[in-house]
Amino acid sequence: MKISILLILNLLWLQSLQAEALKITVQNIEGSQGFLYLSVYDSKDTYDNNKNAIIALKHKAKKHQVTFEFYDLPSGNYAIKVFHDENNNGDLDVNMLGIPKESYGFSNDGGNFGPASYKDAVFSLKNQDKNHIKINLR
Amino acid sequence: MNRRNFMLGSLALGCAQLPCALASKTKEWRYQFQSIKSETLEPMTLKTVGKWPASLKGNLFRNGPALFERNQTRYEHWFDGDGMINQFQLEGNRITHQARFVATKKYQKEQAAERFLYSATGTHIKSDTKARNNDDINTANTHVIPFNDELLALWEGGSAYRIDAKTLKTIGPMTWNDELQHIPFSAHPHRDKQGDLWNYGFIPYMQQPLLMIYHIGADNQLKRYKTIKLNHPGYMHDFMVTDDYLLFLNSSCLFNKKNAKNYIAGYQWQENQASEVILVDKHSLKVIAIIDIPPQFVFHFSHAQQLNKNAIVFYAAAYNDAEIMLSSMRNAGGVDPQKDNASLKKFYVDLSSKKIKIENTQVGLEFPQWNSALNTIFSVGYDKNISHGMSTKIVAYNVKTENAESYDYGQSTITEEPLSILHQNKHYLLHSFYNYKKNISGLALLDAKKISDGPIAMAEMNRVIPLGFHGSFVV
Repeated sequence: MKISILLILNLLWLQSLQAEALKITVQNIEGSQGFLYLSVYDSKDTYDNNKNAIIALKHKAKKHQVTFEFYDLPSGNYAIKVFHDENNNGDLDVNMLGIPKESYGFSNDGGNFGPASYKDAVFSLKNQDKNHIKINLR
Repeated sequence: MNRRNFMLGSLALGCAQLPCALASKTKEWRYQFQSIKSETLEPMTLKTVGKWPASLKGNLFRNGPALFERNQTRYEHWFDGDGMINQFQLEGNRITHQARFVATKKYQKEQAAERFLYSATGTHIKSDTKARNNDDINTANTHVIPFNDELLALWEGGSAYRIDAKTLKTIGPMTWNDELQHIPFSAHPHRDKQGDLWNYGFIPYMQQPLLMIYHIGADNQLKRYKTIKLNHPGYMHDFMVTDDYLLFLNSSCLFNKKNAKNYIAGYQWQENQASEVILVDKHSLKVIAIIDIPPQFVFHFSHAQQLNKNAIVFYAAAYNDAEIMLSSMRNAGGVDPQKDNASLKKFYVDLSSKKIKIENTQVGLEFPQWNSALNTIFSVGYDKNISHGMSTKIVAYNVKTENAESYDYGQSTITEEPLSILHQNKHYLLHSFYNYKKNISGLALLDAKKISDGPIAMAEMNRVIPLGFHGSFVV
């Protein structure tokens, strides 16, 4: 019995270290002007505070869609934020209440009447066949 | 007017494609909620009868939801339809009608896609397209007012849309400045005696519910704006302006965005939640009093008056609860025309004691319009004995004598918001109507001092335009 438990624990440990690939397609991009800013977070804390993203990149926007591919990510839970900086000022433009003027999106396309919570945006990266996340900009 | 029953027509029309017993019962009058398929309705001359004053010239502009279906999908709620501006041009007894949809961002994108892309105010639409902000679902469908030499098509959840008053073509969203972009600008702005325009935006979905107050000068330039934190997110559709105050009713129909698939679905009537009357000083824009009153639900106020330094009186078309918005406008079941109509309530505010006395006049009405020269509230009204329960009357309530008089057009004529016109020192009332027996839309003109005599002139056309909400007469 003891051996069996150890074996299972070891398998889980190995699984958590397994390198995964992640493909992200950002859709509904209205134009090719400006840049996409994409951030991938691996915890609620970093997601909520927009800090210490494990991936943070800026990529030239392209009308309709852009696909990103990443490799060697540890298995685990992730959440993604992306916005389209159309006027290339380095920021998501918002009005005085913080309501966005430029387009943005979250993993799982979550969020109504405000940004997606971590709970709405989180997904599990553990099965290579399903590691294609599509985000529709809004 | 019994707006609750009013919606039976809309919903029954929706039932045209669904098993629904009501569809057959309401067959004759449901056509007023049909969609207009074309982007414009070309000019049509109305057939006139009676005594249209020869020198009366002007335009009645009206706004209302006019597109409820795309690609086999029908909206569930009356608030959802895309706004269409109707123009009745009057030159004596020559009257023409034309109309054009407001080319909102939503309307243009959905026209191109030939399907609904966004969840609407009261309907969840399955789609990959989500709203970036409130203006993505802005239908500009509630009111139309003159502004500079243009018109503003108004909605309550987002920006006003500028409209060319001659062509009815959409110029674009009205942006007061960059930081106010997309912030709600309600459908019921009011001018004060100095000509300044006041409005608010109701923003219940932020962590702290907010009001945005707008002060626009008589020159139509933005003067000031300020956010005010609300104690609770109670639905607001209208407000009031006096010489020194802005008055808001924070209702007992509360918004909670959690799990809300659309805006209306986020609201719940809370019978244990007191409503609040909020008084804002017009000069400082500071809240000077918040007074609790029993739970209220109101779409429209007639007016408010400062009686003296410590007393204000205001009048509202008040409902027993929020069923009309939450259920009846989306669901044809459970309507009780005897129980759930708006009636005119008088609110007497004592500023020294911070108390409010409420009197129910028991006069059933909706779309109240205040005429200060005649001390009279004009409105539509209804006959509880008519089975369809919709507004068939024009009502006049004199606040001095507390007498109400009305004219009833009979079962087959549905009356819409009456507007006061002062022409050559004579007071008239002008309103549009729909007659479901004849299947026509038209206009009626009444002597405002002799409402019970009925119309002095009428005009009709062989064209049905969907029932609307509000409008303006522009000379």
